[in-house]
This record gives sequence, C-alpha cells and structure tokens, in this order.
Amino acid sequence: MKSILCFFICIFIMSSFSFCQDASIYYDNLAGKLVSAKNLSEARDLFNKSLDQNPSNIDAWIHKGNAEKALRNLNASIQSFNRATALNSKNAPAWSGLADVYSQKRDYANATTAATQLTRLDPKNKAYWLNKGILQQMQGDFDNATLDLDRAIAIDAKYKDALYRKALSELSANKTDQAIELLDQVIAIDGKYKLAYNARGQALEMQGDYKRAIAAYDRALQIDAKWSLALTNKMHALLATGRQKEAADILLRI
Amino acid sequence: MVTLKTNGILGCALIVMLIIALAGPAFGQTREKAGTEELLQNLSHRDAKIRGEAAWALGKSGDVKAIDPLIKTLQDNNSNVREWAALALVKIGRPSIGPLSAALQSKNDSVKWQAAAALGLINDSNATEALSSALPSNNSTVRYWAAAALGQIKDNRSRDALISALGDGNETVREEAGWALRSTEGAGAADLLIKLLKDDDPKRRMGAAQSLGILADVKAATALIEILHDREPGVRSQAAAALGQLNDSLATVPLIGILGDGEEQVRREAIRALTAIGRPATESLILALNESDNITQEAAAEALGQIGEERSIEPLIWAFKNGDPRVRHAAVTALAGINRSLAVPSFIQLLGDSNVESDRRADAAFALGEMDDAGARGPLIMALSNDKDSNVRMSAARALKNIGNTSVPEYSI
Repeated sequence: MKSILCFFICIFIMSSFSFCQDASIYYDNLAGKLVSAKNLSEARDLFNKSLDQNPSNIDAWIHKGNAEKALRNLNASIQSFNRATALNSKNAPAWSGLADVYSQKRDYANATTAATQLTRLDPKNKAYWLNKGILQQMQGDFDNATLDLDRAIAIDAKYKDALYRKALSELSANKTDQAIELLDQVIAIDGKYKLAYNARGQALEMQGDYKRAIAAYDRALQIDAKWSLALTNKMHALLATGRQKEAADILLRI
Repeated sequence: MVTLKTNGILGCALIVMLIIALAGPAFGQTREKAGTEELLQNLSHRDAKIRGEAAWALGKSGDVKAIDPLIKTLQDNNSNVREWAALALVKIGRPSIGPLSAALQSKNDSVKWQAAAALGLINDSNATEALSSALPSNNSTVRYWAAAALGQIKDNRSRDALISALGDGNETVREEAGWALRSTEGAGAADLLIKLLKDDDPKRRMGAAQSLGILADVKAATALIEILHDREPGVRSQAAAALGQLNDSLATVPLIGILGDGEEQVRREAIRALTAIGRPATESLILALNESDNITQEAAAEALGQIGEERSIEPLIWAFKNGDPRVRHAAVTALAGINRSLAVPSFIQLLGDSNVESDRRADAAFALGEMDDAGARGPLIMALSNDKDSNVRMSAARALKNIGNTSVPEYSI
C-alpha cells in the first residue's frame, strides 16, 4: 500500500515538473516543427533564439546546420556544424552534416576529413566507410577508395553499394574482369540495381564486347526506360557496331 | 419564332449566370467558413496528429476566431499538439497578444507559461506589461518563461521587474532573468549587474554574480573579487564561480584567500575557478601549500593536481611530508594525476625510512598504491614483510592489491 502511494506521489511530482522546459530546448523543438512544415526561414530564426539562450546546445547547432543546408546557405551550414563539433568532437550527426555539406560544395577534401572522423567514431558502421570511399573516388583517389570500400565489404559482404563502388574503382584501373565479377555479385544481390547493369555495359565495351554491352544497357533500360545515361551509353555502343539508325532513334528519344 | 426561342435560351442563360454570380461569393464565403469551422472541430479530434495539423493550419490562416480555441489547445494532453498551437498563435501574431496576455492570468500554470513563451516569440512590446506582471507568479516555470519572453522583447521598461527576478528564490529563474537583463540592456548590462553586486538582497547579488560570470566581461573582476568575502556563502560561491568564468589571473590570490572558507561549496567553486585560470595560478598555489592553514593547503593541493603542471610535484611531495592526513591525501591524489613516475621514488624513500613517523609511512604506502607503478612492488613487499608497524604493513598490503597481480599472504600483515 505504502509503495503504491509512493508510486502515485512520484507520478504526481514528475507530472508537475514535466511541463517545465528549458527555453533553448523548447525553441529548438518548435523550430523542428517548422522545419517539418517546410517553413525553413522561420525555423532558422527559432534555432537562433534557441542558441541565443544556450550557445552550448549541440542539437540546436546541428538542426540549424540542417536548416541552413536546406536553405542552400552552405557556408552558414558548415559554421553551424563546426560549432557542434567544437562542442563535442564525437558527435556523429555533426560530422555527417559536415561531410554532406562539403560534398554539396564539391569540397571533397574537407568532406573526406569529416567522413574520416565518422569512421574513427564508429569503425563498424559500413555506411561511413562507403561514404568515405565515394569521396575518395570523387577526388580520383581510387586506391584509397578501394581500401575504404573493402572495410565496408568486410563488415557486410553483401553490401551492394560498396561492391558497386569498388567495381567502379576496378574499372578506373582498367581491371574490367574484376569489375564485371563485382557487378555480377551486385546483380545477384539485387537484380533491379540499374547502375550495376550500366557499369557492366561499360566494362564490356572497354573489352570491345559491344554486343554484350548493348544487352547490359538493355537490362538497365528494362528497369528504367528513360534513364538518359544508359540510353547514351547504348547509343555509343550501337554507333561503335555500325548500327547508326538505331543510335539515331535513341538520340531522338533522349 | 426562332428569334423568340433564341431570346428565351439567352434569357435563361443570363438568369443562370446571374444566379451563379450572386451565389458565387456567398458560396466562397461558406466554403471558407466551413474550412475554419472544420479545423476548429479538428482541434478536438481524437487523433493527435490531426489536432496538431489543424492547429497549425489555423495559425497559417491567420483567422482571429482561432485564437481562443488555440489558447485552449495549450492544455492538450499531447505536447506536440500544444507546441503546434503555440506556433499557430505566434504565426497569427499581434492579434494574439491581448488574449495571450489574458491567459497569463489563467488558473492553469501550463497555459500560463506557454502563453508567456508565445508572447516572447511574437516579440511585441505591447506584451511587456503583462509579462512583467507575471514575473512574481507563484509558479517558477511561469516566472522563468516570463523572464525568457521579456528577454526576447528587449523592452527596457521591463528592467525593474527583471532586476527583482534576479533575486528569485529559484536558481533557474535567476539565471533566466540575468539572461533577459543582458539581452535587454545590451552593452550596458555589465555596469548594471556590477551595481547590483551591492544590492541589499543576497539572492539578487548572487543572480548578478552568476550573470556576470556568463557575460565574462573582465571589467567585472574587481567587483566580483570584492564580494568574495560577502557575508552570504551563496554569494561568495557564485562570485568565485563567476571569476572562474572570467578566467582572469588577477583573481588568483583573492581566490586562494577563500580556499580556507568555512563553506565547502565556496571552497569547491574557488578550486574550480583556480583550475580554470590554470598555469598562471600555479606559482601562487605552490606558495599557499607552504604558507597557509591546513584547509587551504588541502584545497591548493587539489587545485594543483587539476592544473597538472610538473613543477608542482616537488612542492606537493613537501606538503605530503609536512601536512596533516587530509593534506597528505590531497597531495597524493594530485600527484597521481600529474606524473606518477616522477613522484614514486620519493614515496619509496619515505616508505623505507624508519625515522619517518609510522602514519606517514603508511600514507606513503597508500600513495604508492594510488600511483599504480610496478616499480613500487618490491619496496611494498619489503614493507609488508619487515615494517614494525602493523598499519604500515596493512597499508602496504592494500597498495599491493591496487598495483595488482600480487598475491598478498594474510599472515604477513
């Protein structure tokens, strides 16, 4: 009886305190709602109010960073994420935000630095390794990209995105057989992975096998008939085999 | 006949068009009305998502009819719905000020604080008076939000009310009142707060000190140093904390002066502040180790340990040799934090010196245990086997357990 009474007293005390909120957190919550309602500018004003109240509110810095990114204020977004990482260098969402914004700015060196922090924070996160690998590829550093992608594949041997990306590294080194092998693995995992068919077509073209390349592009186009990249590649392969009329038909469709 | 028929058709068409033209606006109005009505009804829908959406849609509509129902929705049992209602009231803006100000007199504290928060976000000086009147509310959450809202509005007519709130019994309210004053006063805030350090109300002095710490304006240092000896411990402790935030080495000696304060909280804040000042405070703290009372020595040792400079090692070992048990304990903890390997030889020497008092030898054994240095294992085993004093042997045994991987024979103690 006594314990039941205590329980209800505790509930009462907790409920009476539950409405008491820190202004910084409250404004951040409200701003989050405005973001969900797509009122980004008003949301940003509220994030600023939240941070005026408490400049150490890491969540508000991250949320503001995301809002600025959505508003295409990439420098302001970077500043916000930097404030968050300065407050807590182990904050994954802040590093993730930085990697993303730097990527959008095509500043792949800084994006890679941020992505590297993420892999240090959580070396078992396959997506972090994939992201870093992609960023290395964007800078043309396919060797280091392969090392990162291998880390992702070591975590998940059926990680199709990493296998596909690794195939691209192999293609860049003219290792078409290895690339095709990897792309076949991707297709075995996901038969609707159009990127893999397209890359397979490119690998076969590099080997001079235009007939099979065209078949691979066709598979990609079966998945997405209006995909301009596969259409262009197919057109190229058709021209190479002297099938000008079919190539011209495609050109008219693109 | 044909003409008549044509005229008839045209006439009918004109009549229909006229009816549509006349009915159009009325129909439009009805539809609009129905929209608002439907949204107002949805504020009571059993699905919280629909209630929240309705609240926000009403806010976007700007329809003043929605204000009272939205204020009522601030009592919804779902926090998301309440937040959407608050946002809607802010979105409606100025027309909401009157009803929200009236809601500050509500019997429901939850409605009151949310009304205050919304008024702050509407950010109109027409709400200053109502919010200032809410500052002495019985409920600390309402007082907090009234202060927060006044800080958003930045109307200096709220100065007196905020100064009063700076002496609030609740620390969070004091802190928010300080924030609001800083926000309202801008560049003049420091001068105002420095003046308030001499206020008759000790809580207001505390609030002012707390706020000056956050403001981190070095011109407040002298005034804060002056109240380090305030008769109220809370004021002394808040002044020490603020000086730590100012991080001004000018405060080092005055802060050392209160390391022997009778109140634990004051001593703690002084240590924290000296640690924040860091290296520039080391020399004065080393002097304090030699020249002051035991309580100050103990606190100085702790601060030196937290600052972590190697030049403190010798003075700390000296303090260990000459201080009382509490000073010795603080010195050991500090040394363990600075550089264990540099301190270990001194403690090994003390442990093996039969001319040293037995309780000091026992503490040296304890120190070696704290240092967790494998090089101390041999001397500790020696002490465990040979020391004449059972306390020293007991302490050596415990130290060996700390160092680890050593089986301690029970009989040898």
